[in-house]
Amino acid sequence: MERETRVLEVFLPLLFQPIQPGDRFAGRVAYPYVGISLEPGGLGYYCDVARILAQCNHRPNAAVQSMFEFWKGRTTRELIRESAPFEASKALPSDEWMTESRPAFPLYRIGGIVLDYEKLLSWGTAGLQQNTEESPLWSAPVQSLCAILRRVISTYVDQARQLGSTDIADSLLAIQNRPPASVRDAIQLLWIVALSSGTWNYGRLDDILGPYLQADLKDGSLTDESATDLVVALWDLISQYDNKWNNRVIVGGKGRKNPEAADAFARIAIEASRRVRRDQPQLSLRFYGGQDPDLLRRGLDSIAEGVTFPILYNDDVYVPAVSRAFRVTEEEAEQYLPYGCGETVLSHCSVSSPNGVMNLPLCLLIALFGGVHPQTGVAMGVMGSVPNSLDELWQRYCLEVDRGMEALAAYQRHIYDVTGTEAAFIVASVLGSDCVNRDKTLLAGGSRYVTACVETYGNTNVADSFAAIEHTRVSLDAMREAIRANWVGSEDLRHSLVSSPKYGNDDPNGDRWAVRVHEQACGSANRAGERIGWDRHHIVIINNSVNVLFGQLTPATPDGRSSGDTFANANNPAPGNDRNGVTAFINSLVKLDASLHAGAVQNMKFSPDLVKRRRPLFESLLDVYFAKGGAQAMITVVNRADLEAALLEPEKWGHLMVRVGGFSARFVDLAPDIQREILERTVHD
Amino acid sequence: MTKLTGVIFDIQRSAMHDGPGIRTTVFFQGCPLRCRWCHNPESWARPWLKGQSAPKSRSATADEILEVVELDRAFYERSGGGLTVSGGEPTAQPEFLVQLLTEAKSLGFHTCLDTTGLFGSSLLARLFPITDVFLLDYKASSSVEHQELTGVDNRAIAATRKRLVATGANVILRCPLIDGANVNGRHLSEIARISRQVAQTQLLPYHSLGRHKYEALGIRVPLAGVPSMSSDRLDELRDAIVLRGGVRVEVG
Ligand code: SF4
Repeated sequence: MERETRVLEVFLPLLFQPIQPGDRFAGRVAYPYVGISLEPGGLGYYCDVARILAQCNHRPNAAVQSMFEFWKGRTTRELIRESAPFEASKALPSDEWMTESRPAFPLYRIGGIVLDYEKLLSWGTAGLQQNTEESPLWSAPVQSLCAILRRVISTYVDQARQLGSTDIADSLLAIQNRPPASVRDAIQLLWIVALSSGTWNYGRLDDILGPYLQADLKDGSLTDESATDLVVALWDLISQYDNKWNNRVIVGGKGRKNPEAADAFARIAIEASRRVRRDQPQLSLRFYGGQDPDLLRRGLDSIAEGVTFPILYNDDVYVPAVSRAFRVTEEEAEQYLPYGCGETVLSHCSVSSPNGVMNLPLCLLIALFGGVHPQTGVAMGVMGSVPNSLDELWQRYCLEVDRGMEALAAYQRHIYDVTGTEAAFIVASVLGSDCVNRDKTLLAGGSRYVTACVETYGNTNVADSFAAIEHTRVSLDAMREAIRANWVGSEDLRHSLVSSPKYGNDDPNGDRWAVRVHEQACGSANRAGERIGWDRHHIVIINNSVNVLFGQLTPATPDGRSSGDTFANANNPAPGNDRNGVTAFINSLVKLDASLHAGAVQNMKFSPDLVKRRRPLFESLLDVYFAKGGAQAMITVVNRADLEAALLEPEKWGHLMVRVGGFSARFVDLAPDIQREILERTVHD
Repeated sequence: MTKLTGVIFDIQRSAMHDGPGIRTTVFFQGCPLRCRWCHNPESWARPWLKGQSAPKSRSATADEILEVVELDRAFYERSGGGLTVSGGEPTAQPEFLVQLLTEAKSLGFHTCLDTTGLFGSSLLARLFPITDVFLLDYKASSSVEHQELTGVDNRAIAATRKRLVATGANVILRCPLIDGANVNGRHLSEIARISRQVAQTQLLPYHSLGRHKYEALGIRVPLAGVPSMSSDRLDELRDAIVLRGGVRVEVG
């Protein structure tokens, strides 16, 4: 802890960057090349050799050289790799997940931590000191931390004065010792502490900031308009703190302490996202039957305008699902938070970092080829003779998945152990709900629930592959042959595989395999967790670009996908495979049980005609989706870029319906001149 | 009841423009008309007649169709949707149509019939109790024009419309509008007049979409050179109809 305190004394003042003209709050950061972080700079103690070398044109001077010498073997990441358990590192020999074709890789980070801002704002920095005074573990580090934060604040006060930004200077002075009294001051304190902690998901800001906002509106110090400006300014800074895969803000939902005040903030948050129109923050709206429907209505208005936010979460399904998946009471589950690209964590009382990635289609291929990679022939799976029947293939596939999950769970625990010994993460620990009471640090017993999750990719492609093999009854020898040749010479086979039943069409033959693959992967992760003594270890099926990256690194698959082609995104049908209309798509989606994992993302794309001109139908679709058990929806509206993409790759856009004259048609089926005309028209929609 | 078999060429789920709410639309094969703007010429052939074939069609029983319709029941219930029978001209298979709609009603589905109206009063009497909404085409106002544009005169069609209006059926009038073919002052006035007798009137702008289908079928493209109608022009025509006293007139 002593070490960490001394590092923070140097690190935090370097981390914070000057206020820019136009900023309404102090708080920009640039990550130093060496330091400590949960995730943004690197895991634990890090030294970013590549960036330093680039900075000095690959000619490090003697001082830099000796710094490299010092850190060699001492960064947390290196310590983890060097001391990894034998079996796990045998199954996970590489960390190069962005360039190598392997079934599983570990990731080095502690993701998904959300601080207890309610505590922070009610105590202020002075309260933080007072409330840890008695703690043998925390008293000294918190004193030092608060002293550092006050220095950071003082520096910012000087800058703000120089820039003539008296409102920033006033806020900073107000929070230097005392708890904030206005929403403006509350945002300022929250923002500086969030940045200091290295976290980038902010939790239920409506419940946290709502009461401050309400008081300001009541006493007339703010109007709706000036409050919106403040939130827009915060959104601007969040998007400067650029991480489009995180930066989550949650509004709405069950279990808020101040629902009425929170609703007021949520309305302003939705409006701010409409105005900012950036990919960050990832504003997420939780809703349930008893909530003021006005919030969801405003959320849908924003979506209809083409703002991707808010992302929708249906608490009536999500809360019971989290309760089952995380084995907590419904009351605890009400404090779930979506973070990152769609994972779930319990607000500031759990650690549930996504520290492994799995390429499920590659698991299938390795199973199909008897434990070796089909292209390189390198042994990287459970070795044995090649399977010759569908049942055998399924058994072998399950073994591959189990092997990856077990290795990742063991590696994950090792990451927590090593990192927990190395770093206390003072800010995250003291603003977690249990570390101070328990007198422990975040990863060394201070968190009520320590869990983890594995990101799986290509789930749908695996399901479609099994469905296609079953439907075509192709011999697995012929399958191997065709995959090795990437379909050259097997075009007919490929055609029949492509036209086999696919997940996403409400076709029992396609969807049955999706359910089976889903349940197997979820169960495999649970069992792998149990083996190392964790009763909560899950998969997540999330929305980012790893499906594209892993697709590029993966040979052809039995669903007819060619080598290098992208995988289906998250829990969605593979691109262009849902051709039976949106109701069928929805019926398929809800077949996958939401209570078995720690987050799955459903992307839905609707036409401007539907969301704008036929809003009641759009709302009916969503209502039925949510009533049938839909937990989450990320909705976008078709735009010109989508239509252009459909022109280039029609096979991936079979689901795209457009309104032509007096009727609807599949865009990809239209003659080229009509497609062009629709493209022109869409610009004006 | 004997189980009949019909000939259909498509079932489309998630239809959003074929009557109220979210619907499943069944397209019947076969049509006695030859509308010059038809964008579905492949639906014309009546394979049960000698010398006609429809390679893309398939036969189906009412049960088979209703099994698909059933899958989206929750969506109909929430949105006020249901089953729409379209074509082709569904009444070209009268017995099968009646059976399908009867069974659909007995299963509690809301039903729409998309029709030209080219059928007699006895069939209408049978359809009346099993059809919730008639989507009734209105193509041309004068008999000569109707003959020229669709290949049939409009006497039977007009009679059906009048009967429907007289019996208080729920009618949505659907009016394809094609500049240079059926758009003229008299027709717009007639649309305006009839709009006051029906629940709703939808204007369907001409689109040259069907062109390549005709080419593929080896049929001369009937409205070659007629451009698609712009949305501005359609708004103009809607305004003209409203000026002539039209009510509940919408772009469909
Ligand atoms: S009635 Fe319909 S299907 Fe028949 S020709 Fe006219 S537009 Fe085509």
